[in-house]
This record gives sequence, C-alpha cells and structure tokens, in this order.
Amino acid sequence: MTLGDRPRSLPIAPQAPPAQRRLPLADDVRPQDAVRPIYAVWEITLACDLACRHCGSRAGRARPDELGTAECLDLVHQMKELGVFEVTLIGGEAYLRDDWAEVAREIRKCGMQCTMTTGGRGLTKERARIAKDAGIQSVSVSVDGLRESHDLQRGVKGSFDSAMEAFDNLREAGIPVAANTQINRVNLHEIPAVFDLLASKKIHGWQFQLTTAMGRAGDEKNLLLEPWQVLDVIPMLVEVKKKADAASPRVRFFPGNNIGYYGPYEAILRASFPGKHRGSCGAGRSTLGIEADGSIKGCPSLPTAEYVGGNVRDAKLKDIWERAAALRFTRDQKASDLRGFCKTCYYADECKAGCNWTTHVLLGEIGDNPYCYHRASTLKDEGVRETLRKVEDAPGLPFDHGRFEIVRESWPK
Amino acid sequence: MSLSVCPSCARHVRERACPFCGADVPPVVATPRPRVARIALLGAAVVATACGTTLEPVYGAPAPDAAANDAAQNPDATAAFYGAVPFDAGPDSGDGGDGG
Repeated sequence: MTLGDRPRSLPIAPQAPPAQRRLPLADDVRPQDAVRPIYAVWEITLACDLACRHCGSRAGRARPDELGTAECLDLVHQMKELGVFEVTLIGGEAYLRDDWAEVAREIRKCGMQCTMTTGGRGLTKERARIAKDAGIQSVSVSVDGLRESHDLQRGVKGSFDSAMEAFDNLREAGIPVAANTQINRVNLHEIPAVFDLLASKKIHGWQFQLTTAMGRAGDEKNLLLEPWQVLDVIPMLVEVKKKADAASPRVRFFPGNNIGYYGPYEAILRASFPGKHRGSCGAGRSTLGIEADGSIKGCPSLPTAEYVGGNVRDAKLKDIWERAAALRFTRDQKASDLRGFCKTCYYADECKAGCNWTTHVLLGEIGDNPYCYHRASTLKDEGVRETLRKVEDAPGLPFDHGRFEIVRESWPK
Repeated sequence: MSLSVCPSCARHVRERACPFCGADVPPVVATPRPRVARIALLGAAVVATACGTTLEPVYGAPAPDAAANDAAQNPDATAAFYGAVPFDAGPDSGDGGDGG
C-alpha cells in the first residue's frame, strides 16, 4: 500500500490567513432562523502534532489570530445562551492549546456536555488526568487503519501506537472512549479489522465517514474513493454493524453525514434514527462550527472561504447564527434547488443531496452529490458508473478545496 | 410525508405499493412524540429528527450518558426527539422550520 510522495510542493502546514471580518448580517430575523444548534464543534487551535494526508484543515500551525482565553470563555457563555447542549473540542489538536482544560471546565460549568476528538499522539497519562479533572465526558480517538495504513495517512510513524496508548490512558483516567475513522482507498479493505481492533479497546461508539476532498485530502486523488465504490462500502458497513451490535459492551454505530444514502441498507445502518433514515444536512440548523479565530460556520467541516458567516469579535454569536447568510443556507434549501441526478431523485425532498460539505468541496457547489448508494445503484442498473476527474487544484490554505468533475462511464464487463 | 420501509426490498418509500419492487407496504405507525425535556437532550449528538433534521456526531461520538445508553440498548428504538426545536417546545413544535 502506498500513496507515493505528497503531491504538492506547497507547505504541508501553511499559515492560515487572518479571519474574514465585518461580514454583513441581515437586518431581520425570520421565523425559520429560530432554530437552535444542539451540537457545536469547536476548533480551539489549528496547531497539530500530526501531519495527516487527509486533513481538511491542513492543520499544523496555530492560526495567527486565535481567540484568547477570555474570548474563549465568553464564547462558551454565548453558546450556552444560544442553546448549545454539547460541545466537541477539536483542533488541530485541542490539547496543544495551553488553556484547553480551562475552556473544557467552563463548558461543563455552564451545564453543557463536553467531549473531545484527538489524534492521540500526545495524549499522555497526565493529559488524560487533566481532561478528566476538567470534566470532559468522552474522548474520541481518530484511527484510520491498522498500523501501517494509519501511519501512512497520519504522516507520522508511531502515530498508530500513540493512538492505542491514548485509549489506554483515557480509560485509566476514567474517561469513556470512542473512535472515529475515515474510509478511503487506502483502508477500505481493512475496515472490518479496524473495527475489531477498536472494539477490543472497549469503545462505546464508532463514527465513520468517507474521506472528503477538502484540504490535503483534495490533493490526494489516490486517497479518495470513486463514487461507485459506495456500492462496496455500504454493504461492508452493514456487516460491521452486526459486529458492533453483538459486541460486549455494544458499540454504538454512528454513520457520518456523508455515509448513505437510502437504498436497502439505510434502515439497518440508521436503525436507531426515527424512521430509520437520515434527513438532510443539519448545518446551521442543529450544528454549529467554530474556527479558532472566532469564525462561525454552520458546520465545522464546511470550507472557510464560502461558509464563514461572521466572527465573534465583530458580532454576538446569536446574531451571526440568526442573521448570516452562510448560516441560513440549509434553512432555505429546497429540493427544487438541487441539480443533476439529485434534482430528480425519489428521495430529493428528504435528502436534499445529503452532505453539503462533501458536495461543495468536490464540485465547487452543492446540490448534486455523487457519493450516494441509491444513485450508484440506480446508475448501475443502467450499466453506468461515476468516477471523478480533477480539474482544479486547491490553493493550499486551511479548509480549502479544488474542483473535480463527475465522469460517467460504462461499467466494465 | 413519512417514509416506510418496504418489507420486501427494504427501501424507504412513501406509497402503499413499493415503487421499486411492487410489494405492499404497511402504513407508518405513528409513534407518540414525547415532550422534549432537557434530560432527553443528553447525548445530543446521537440522533435528532423532530423536524426532519438529522443531527449526527460530526466529530467523534457523544458521551455515553444515561439517555444515550437507554437508546443504545435497543437499536431499533426511537431515540429522544429534540432536533432543532426549543428545549421546552411541545410535542408538535418539531414540525416547524423548513421541515427537512
């Protein structure tokens, strides 16, 4: 297994540009803007101790204008006032910020749940104890393969062993552990074995998603699955779910937003969802994303250039949430806005083309998502499959993207 | 309109006759929607579809709190409804918004 050399000569960890400031807000608040985020994902620093080849934020160096401690604590209170119930701290690597535990403690003091996602390279026993003392209730460790493929993707030899130690350190400190995994061409064949490994670490939950063409991942064409490969991915995940349900303790199964959609396996993969299926993108409706410089997005994964709605140094979080166009877009999204296959899809009203992040960073616009089981299956019945062709490189900044085109071809005989 | 799972081909459908395989599809049995309470919000990132919005853990997995564990014990159970509605909203408030 190899990905070859890193495909660009730009810095692996570029310096992020300063935050976009003084963005316009609408004058009025509409009835549909009364929705409130339940879940906030907060990049508290872009500094990182790994060099992941699929990192969407090209993390490594701290942003030049990250919020100070007092600003972070104020933002915690604003999140509470807005109605946020759970905050997940991420990075970069959250623990590389000196005041990470202070921020976590304030989140808990305000009555919100606090979890953290980590690559685990430096999650020592001491940091695990600090996390426990701060009140962090669960930590999800990123594991993207068995030792060789994990280290290959994470860009640091030994990162797999560090992640395994992180599980042990966290559990020893009394913190429940979960895991999250990217699915891509490098690790597709070993996902069941990865799950077995994670179950042996007594995880309580496993979240997984397709590697998406943002940041460094967009530079790595050989990492990205072709859309037709979801026909292999989804049934494989159904088999893994059987193991998750049978595990002791049972492992809760969390298909990420870009896993799907519909088809004969949806009701199994999302058995615990009302109706046993997902709805449409929750960015700006139930989810809030925050970048370390105070930039506010509807979802932490969305690309910065197009989806930052404002900055908490310029406006109150509530005002940005209610009045920024970039936060409103899913509140206004209609099936009639979709394009291509998705526009005429049987599930258009419910799905609205699924994960907007995945589609935008791939194609440069939303509304026509090729990573879909129902779509790939329908096309296969017609003897057609979809692949991707890169037509534009990304500029090389955090949360950026290039552009791909969807190419249809006959299924090989 | 609510989607049902076709008992024959397992796809979600709206019609009483499955448009994919032609099988008869039983109507959706409405599940009473519990009043949203703050306690039901524990493990907020698990699932939320009161108004069709799906709230999934974007990064990692939510804390294994009591409410989430209750749902986890029965994978086919409907998880707590909360979604993008005010915490103290009544049982029908989730139909607001754009409906997802």
